[in-house]
Amino acid sequence: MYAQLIRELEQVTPIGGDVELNVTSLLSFPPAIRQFITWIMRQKLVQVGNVASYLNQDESATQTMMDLLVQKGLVEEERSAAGLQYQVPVRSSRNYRVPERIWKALDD
Amino acid sequence: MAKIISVHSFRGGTGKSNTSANLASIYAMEGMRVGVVDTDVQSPGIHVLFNMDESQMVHSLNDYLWGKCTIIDAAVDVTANLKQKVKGQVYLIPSSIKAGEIARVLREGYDVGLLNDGFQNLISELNLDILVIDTHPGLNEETLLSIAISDALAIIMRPDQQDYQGTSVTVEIARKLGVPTMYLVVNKVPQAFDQNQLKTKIENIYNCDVAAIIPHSDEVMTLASAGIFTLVYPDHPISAVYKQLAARLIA
Repeated sequence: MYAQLIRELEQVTPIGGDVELNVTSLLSFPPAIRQFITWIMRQKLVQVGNVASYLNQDESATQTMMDLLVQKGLVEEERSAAGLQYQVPVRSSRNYRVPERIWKALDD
Repeated sequence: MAKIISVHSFRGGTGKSNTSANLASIYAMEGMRVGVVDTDVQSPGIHVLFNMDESQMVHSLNDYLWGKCTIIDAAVDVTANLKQKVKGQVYLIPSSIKAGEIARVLREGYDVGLLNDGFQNLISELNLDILVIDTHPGLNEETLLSIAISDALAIIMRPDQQDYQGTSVTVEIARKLGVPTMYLVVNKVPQAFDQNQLKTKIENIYNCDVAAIIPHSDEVMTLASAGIFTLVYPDHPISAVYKQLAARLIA
């Protein structure tokens, strides 16, 4: 899985600027990245050690991959008392386009 | 470690909320601490099954999503509402039933990522064993998020041609997102149907286990969401089916 992840990551366009990572965009990722990112989401926060066990890799290779994931904007780092942790920055706001008069009627 | 179970269906009216409420009650009867989140912000309803009146709903999921309160503030201990002696506890996080607040959440949207943070906070702060997510039918961002972070997913469908097509979409997406455990639940099955034949047919179509076949029942219809079936009819065959489903989802 590790080799496939690296291959797929190299082809992913970085997320950043005005482009947000949202759950729907997960579906368009290549299969290994998609499964890996959703695994991290289920853990909520992961450390390199957890990821290394999951991928059956040593920590150095895993750290290289986590750095690549951060560069691509697919995970973000968080420093805590427990050390460096990673999470998936799913941040998206969704709304509906409805004529203003309908919203106004609902507000009244 | 707590388990997150999402209950979803592609179409409405399949019995998601009833299934969610029954699962939560079964786990609580077994002594577990259970949270139930109504993420169906567009058409909330599960609070009715828990006999929750408006006076109990000081805050809602909407308030949390707008930053007006913490998710814990929105959690209501509805264990006493079950009107049965249960060993565990049930907390419900309802969605607002006020028209203006439903409209506001549709108009302004919200940070879907907050849902994930909220789920995790509920689990840790309330020391939950199980978190049941009652989703909105069809697919939208919050549904996808719920599916993505779930340890187990129950997909509810009826033996209806429209449900057959829609369910295949949900199954495909759940597979893409690598949900560890996924079961189909076929609800409202006419008594005339051969259950074994139906189970085999559906399992072959989706290549996914059918964990429960729930026949159409006059008792369910007559109860009309005025209570939770497995608590009102603990010895009914349908209650036994729900209990088997509950066990499989956390196996």
